[in-house]
Amino acid sequence: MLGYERKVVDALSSTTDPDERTAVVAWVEGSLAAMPELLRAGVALGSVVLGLWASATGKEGHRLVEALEASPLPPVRLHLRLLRSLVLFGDLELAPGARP
Amino acid sequence: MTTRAAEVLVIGSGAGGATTAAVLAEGGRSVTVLEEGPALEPGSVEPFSLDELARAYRHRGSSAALGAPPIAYAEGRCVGGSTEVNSGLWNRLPEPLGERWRVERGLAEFTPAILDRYADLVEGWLGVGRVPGALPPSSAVLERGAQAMGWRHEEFPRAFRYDDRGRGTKQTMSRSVLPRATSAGADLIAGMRVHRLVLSGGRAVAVEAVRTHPDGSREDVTITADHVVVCGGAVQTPALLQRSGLRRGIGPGLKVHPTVKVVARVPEVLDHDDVPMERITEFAPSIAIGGSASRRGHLGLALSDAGVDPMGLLDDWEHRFVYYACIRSDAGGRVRAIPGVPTPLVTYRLTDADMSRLARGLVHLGEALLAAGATELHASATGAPVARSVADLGVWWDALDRKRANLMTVHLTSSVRMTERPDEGGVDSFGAVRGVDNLRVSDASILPEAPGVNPQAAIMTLAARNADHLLGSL
Repeated sequence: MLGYERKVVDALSSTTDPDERTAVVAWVEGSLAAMPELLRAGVALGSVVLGLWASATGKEGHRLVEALEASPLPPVRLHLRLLRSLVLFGDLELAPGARP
Repeated sequence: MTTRAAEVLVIGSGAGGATTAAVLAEGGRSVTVLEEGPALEPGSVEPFSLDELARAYRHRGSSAALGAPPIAYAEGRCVGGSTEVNSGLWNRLPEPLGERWRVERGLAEFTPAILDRYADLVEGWLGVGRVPGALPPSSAVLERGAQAMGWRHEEFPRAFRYDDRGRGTKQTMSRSVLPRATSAGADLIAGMRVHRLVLSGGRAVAVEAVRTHPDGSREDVTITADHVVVCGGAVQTPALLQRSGLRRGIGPGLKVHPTVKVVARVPEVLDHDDVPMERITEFAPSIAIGGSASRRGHLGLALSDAGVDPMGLLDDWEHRFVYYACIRSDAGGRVRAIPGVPTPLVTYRLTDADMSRLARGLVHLGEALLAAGATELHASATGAPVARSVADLGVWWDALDRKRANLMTVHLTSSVRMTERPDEGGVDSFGAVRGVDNLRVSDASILPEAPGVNPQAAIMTLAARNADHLLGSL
């Protein structure tokens, strides 16, 4: 998982328990690594570009997520949506009592 | 490098591969089945869980057909293939569709009587039945909605066996058909990824593979074979054939059932450990309406697809459920093997008519759910307004556009279509690859079109028929 991706995952995860948070990050990392190679390459390229942009603008944490959500560029929102989906699924399924 | 030999080599152990192996092994042939994924003890993986995604799915379920919009899809990757992770819904190939394929594709021995004979055979192996007793609440919602709308609906049978107390066990390939094959002498090898078929003199003489052992070590393996049957599914099969230098009719024509979802909130508490088996069939075969996995994670994802923050809405998650409308699309896609890249590129271009049909399905789904008593509906189109009344559904027609629709599918077919017209597909009436004497395909990829229903029954029926045909020629 790239540094930018880790920052966004950290910002997106609503889990406060440190162990659960570690498990969620590991889940996202494993899922990104398991993606089809071409899709992963596209996501990684997006992460590099957005990481440079985030560094240049100094945006981090929730401010970064808010800026991504408000982007007029659909690929930026799609990139965020992918990471959000992985984090959300991990947050919800790794939480206590997730089993039906 | 290890070298082995097989009389009949079956690549893939899902619905097509397991059935092929069982028919041939019980017919007295020496069969070796290769499966890329791991062998999982039946019942050892919790259905619809993260563990299942990690262990039983290819790419942890995160694949996508590129297009506008992209379509997320999932494939099983373990012994038993997608039958280990699907809902087990069982729909024989609709007779009018089979008849159309017979006429339009010139398919031989494709009459209802012949297809029924093989469907009977595999149903006898599996056990196919309906849930004993009353419908679970999540199914009852669909039944109630259809009845209120005056629409046709039915409870679909499933490949399940039920005990005296009504507890069901899904008859996955690893529980049912693969044991038949191995009892008859078939050899099943897990962790074996086939990279390429070795073609020589118009025959597939061997396969080159890498075996991953349980300890993680890897071994190059070459297996010679008298006959090869490829059963890797609608994405992996054409990719393997293309990597082996076969391209005519291999890869184009991919079909999926594009699916749009709605999260419904209803007054009653719903069951979340299974999928609904009730379906609204009023608009079949062009549109099917049903329900899907709805653990908290699935609900969260579906709500996120609607563009809302799911966390606040999940306090009452036991009252919420994910329902869907899926369509038979006019569009087609393509599978392309990329040199040096293990995973093929999959593309799919929905037509304007498909988008319109999806919107119609979405609105009809909303109508049924509201008629069933749902109080709040979120559609999987970013920014689509929440619907609390039929009047609110009007804007959904426009909300489902190419930029905002969040679509998925679990049914992929037709990338190596069966036809007697060589320009229209990759294999003949019995799955034989043209130009290669001893090579056949038997999986979802040979279906001439997406059937509009869960394809497992059609895949197994055709696999049994085609294996029987092969058996007769050996």
